[in-house]
Amino acid sequence: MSSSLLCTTACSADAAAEGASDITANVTDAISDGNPYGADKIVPVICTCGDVCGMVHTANAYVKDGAIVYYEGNADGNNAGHLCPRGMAGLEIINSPNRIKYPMRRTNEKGVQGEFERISWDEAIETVTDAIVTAINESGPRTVAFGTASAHPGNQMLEVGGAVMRKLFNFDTGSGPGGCWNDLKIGPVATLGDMYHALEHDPFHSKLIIFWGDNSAMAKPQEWGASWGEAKFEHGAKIVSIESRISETSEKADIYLPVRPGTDSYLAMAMANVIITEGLQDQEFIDKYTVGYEEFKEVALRYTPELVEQITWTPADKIREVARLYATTKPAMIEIGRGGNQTGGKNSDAGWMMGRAVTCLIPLCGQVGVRGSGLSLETSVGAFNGNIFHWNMGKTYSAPTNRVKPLFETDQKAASGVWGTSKVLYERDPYGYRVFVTNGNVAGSTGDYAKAEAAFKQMDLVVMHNRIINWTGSAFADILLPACSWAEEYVWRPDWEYSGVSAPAIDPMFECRNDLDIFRTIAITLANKLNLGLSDEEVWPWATDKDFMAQILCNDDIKAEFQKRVDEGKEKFAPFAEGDIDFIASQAFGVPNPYYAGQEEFLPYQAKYYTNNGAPADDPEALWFPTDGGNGKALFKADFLTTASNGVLPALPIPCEPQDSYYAEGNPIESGNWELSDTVKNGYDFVAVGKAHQHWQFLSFNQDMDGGPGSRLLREAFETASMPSCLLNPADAERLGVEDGDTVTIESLYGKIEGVNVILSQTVMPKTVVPPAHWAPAQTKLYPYSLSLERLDPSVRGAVLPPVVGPFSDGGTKRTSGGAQNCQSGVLCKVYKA
Amino acid sequence: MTQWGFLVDERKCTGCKACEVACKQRNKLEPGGPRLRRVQVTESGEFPDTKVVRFSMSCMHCADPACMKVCPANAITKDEDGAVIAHRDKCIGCHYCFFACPFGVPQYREDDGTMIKCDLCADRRTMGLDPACVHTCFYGALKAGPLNELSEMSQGTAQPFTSDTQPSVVTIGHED
Repeated sequence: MSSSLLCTTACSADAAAEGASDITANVTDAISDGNPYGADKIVPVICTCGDVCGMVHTANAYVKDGAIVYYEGNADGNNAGHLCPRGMAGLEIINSPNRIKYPMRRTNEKGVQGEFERISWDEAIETVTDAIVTAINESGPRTVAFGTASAHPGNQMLEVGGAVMRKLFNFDTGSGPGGCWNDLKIGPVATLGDMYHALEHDPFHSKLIIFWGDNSAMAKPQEWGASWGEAKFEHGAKIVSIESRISETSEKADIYLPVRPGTDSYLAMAMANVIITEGLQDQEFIDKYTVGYEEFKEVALRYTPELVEQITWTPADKIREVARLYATTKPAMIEIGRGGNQTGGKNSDAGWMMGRAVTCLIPLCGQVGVRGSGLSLETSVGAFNGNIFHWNMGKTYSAPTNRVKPLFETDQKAASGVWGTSKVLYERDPYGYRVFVTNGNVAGSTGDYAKAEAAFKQMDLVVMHNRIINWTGSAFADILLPACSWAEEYVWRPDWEYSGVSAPAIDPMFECRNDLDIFRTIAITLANKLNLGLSDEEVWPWATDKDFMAQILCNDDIKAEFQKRVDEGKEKFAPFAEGDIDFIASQAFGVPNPYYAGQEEFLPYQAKYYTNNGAPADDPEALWFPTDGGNGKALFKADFLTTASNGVLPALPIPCEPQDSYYAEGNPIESGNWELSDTVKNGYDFVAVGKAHQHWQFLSFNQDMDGGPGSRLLREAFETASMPSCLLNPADAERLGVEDGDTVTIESLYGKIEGVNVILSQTVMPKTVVPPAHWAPAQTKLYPYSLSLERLDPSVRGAVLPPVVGPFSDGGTKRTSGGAQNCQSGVLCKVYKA
Repeated sequence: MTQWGFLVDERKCTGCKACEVACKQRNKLEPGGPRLRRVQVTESGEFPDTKVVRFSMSCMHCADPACMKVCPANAITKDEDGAVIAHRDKCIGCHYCFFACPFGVPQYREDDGTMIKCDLCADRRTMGLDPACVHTCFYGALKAGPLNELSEMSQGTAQPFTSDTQPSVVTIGHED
């Protein structure tokens, strides 16, 4: 889930006060019975459709006689009427013949595409609750995993509902690998102290924007349309794209730099080398605002463009060109995406080191302190050190969870952190999951498919609740429960400046129930089977999902928060302070975030935000980096990384090879050994460019039973969506004796994908292959299962980063973590004709 | 009659195909059948100097449409906005329009033996709404309206798409 940081001057709550937009007015003033398409009503629904780009978009459902007769973007939503291809396929998904219509039970063996027979809801709930009761009684409640796993639910009500279930019954989360972005923050937080993401209007001030491992033109259509793209087309920003293939963003760039997957930190140090040797660094800034420059310089001087060219496959003259451009163009911004951090592994820091090395360029050139400069980090959750932050998830989660307490006691301890839950799932240590209830797609999205397969086959019962069953459900579910689509339920999806909310446009289709209803039924049935002697309300206090949403958005605490903003003169919060759920659910633009503090004025690294980190109170606009140690300086040398990790992590940004090293002894500049690794010499000489998102799929929601996209319109529109396909450079294909349309096997040290359709493309860097990401389980067969920071002692893994400071922190002293699933890109492969 | 058409800004298009999907959806067309808007993608050059060009095309709504000239059933007309309309109730499915069209626009509908093509969202036009493709595009790569207004909107940077039939499409960033 990523940010959507819109300029608040366009807030539609204000627009609503003035009168609807022209388009909305036309829509209701049309030729037949008052509404287009003969609709009785037009209902805004939050799009959690297609694939959850991470942004909150609103669609219009035109409803006639209880059915949706037309569907398009809502002009008053912050998407301004637009929907991406995944969103636009929403109605097709809602009406899909492949929707799960009624509860089902598996009839064939696991591990292959599932076959299921229809059963009744009663039988389904009996089966599920019997299995859970058995697990609780025989092995303890932690052996039940309940909640979302891996794939985001879209409707965040699910996550909170899952949190309530887990509190009631002491279930585990079974969440598996954790967010793919979570270690992306380690580097920036170390260097600069925060992980700022640009506001919508920030890039309008940039003369130069570098997209580093970031494909916003494709992955963030709204951000590109309203922010980055506008900076380019309307404000003249020059664009540089640094990528392991020519992506959609690369095509929009003025300069494209190719980079071997996982070698971004080398490239960053080579740019530092150029800047320092040519005297382009901002020495005054460095002297005043940084720590460790001399040691950093010593490292950088080793990384000449000529040496680095051999490693990263980036032409030396282009390295020089971009380095000079960045140092001499002010203001310049760097947006770091998730392209590079996924190349780290169990034994490689290459992933998080990318952000560390790249962010060093910012203080090196003094690219701080004015709008349009600095860092923009592509990440999902904000508020590291008081910068622009997300709807306060902690507070909103706690609204329902505070209303319940555990229904029974247990001594069994929960698996802790992403490493803990993964150990339970894959190693069954210290216990294994017996029952797994999810709507997610763990088996379709983690590495080491064989491990995931074994884990799921060992469970007593796997239950999938969803509208279209993804690969995990298809291959491993025993029971399928038909869930409502976003048009048939209350939806709450928080983002940065607002939460998207909507009410159902139509009744549940077929025998579908919304996920909260499903959870409620299971909870009450379980409580009865466990003889807890409680009434329905005592178990689950909310009769409907609407009541649950009201708990989140209309409770006294949040009403007080809205009121505080009103008292500050921010009138747009006034209607929300009333706590009227019907009003709230009808707002196409959503609910404005009462917890933010004037985001449109925020400029990072100003002392006034960090007085609780030691910043001077008398000079509010002084530059202050909220880094570890509280001296306000950017850290070229971050000693805390070494001490917090008990000596494992380096204090300086020393580049390293990805998990599968190309060289015999890792980084050849440091080791002095330029011999290629045995892996390469044994024929694994292609580098896989993993996780390359497509317009038709990001996070495998609406993935169908065969592992491909649920939408047939998208399968028709994209060759890569029609069957598992890889992209190869034509020169490599010729060398392999492979033609467009042939079938190949892609094999890594960790597994292989067979039956892959070949598509030749000059957007592919020679000696790389773009495997079929988003076709499950294909992608997972190529990569290992890996989490960052696994080399660290368990006692320190979760506490590498400094405590959160800044105005929105609670002043705690708890260090935090940045580990998550990695190694989804950069492995070495063989590619050969089947 | 003020001739309507499309502005296609190839600088902005990322090939996302939302316009294709929106069009299929508005026309209630099944996957596998006619696809009235198609984004043509072509690559040229060699890595790393590859150029990718995308052109989102439905019907060109030509000022002098070849299809209208050849239709033996008089099933093709131009409406008051200059949009070229293929009338299903008159169509005999002979494919002459497809053969005549320099852009291969009309497509055959298997289910009822008639040809179908973009009608510039005729019903939406009467409601003052943008065509479905234009409405959905996040990138601002598609616009529809009177051609002279589209040219003005693009501040003269839009170039007409050339052909004998005088297509009512202007492009930005198009290279022949």
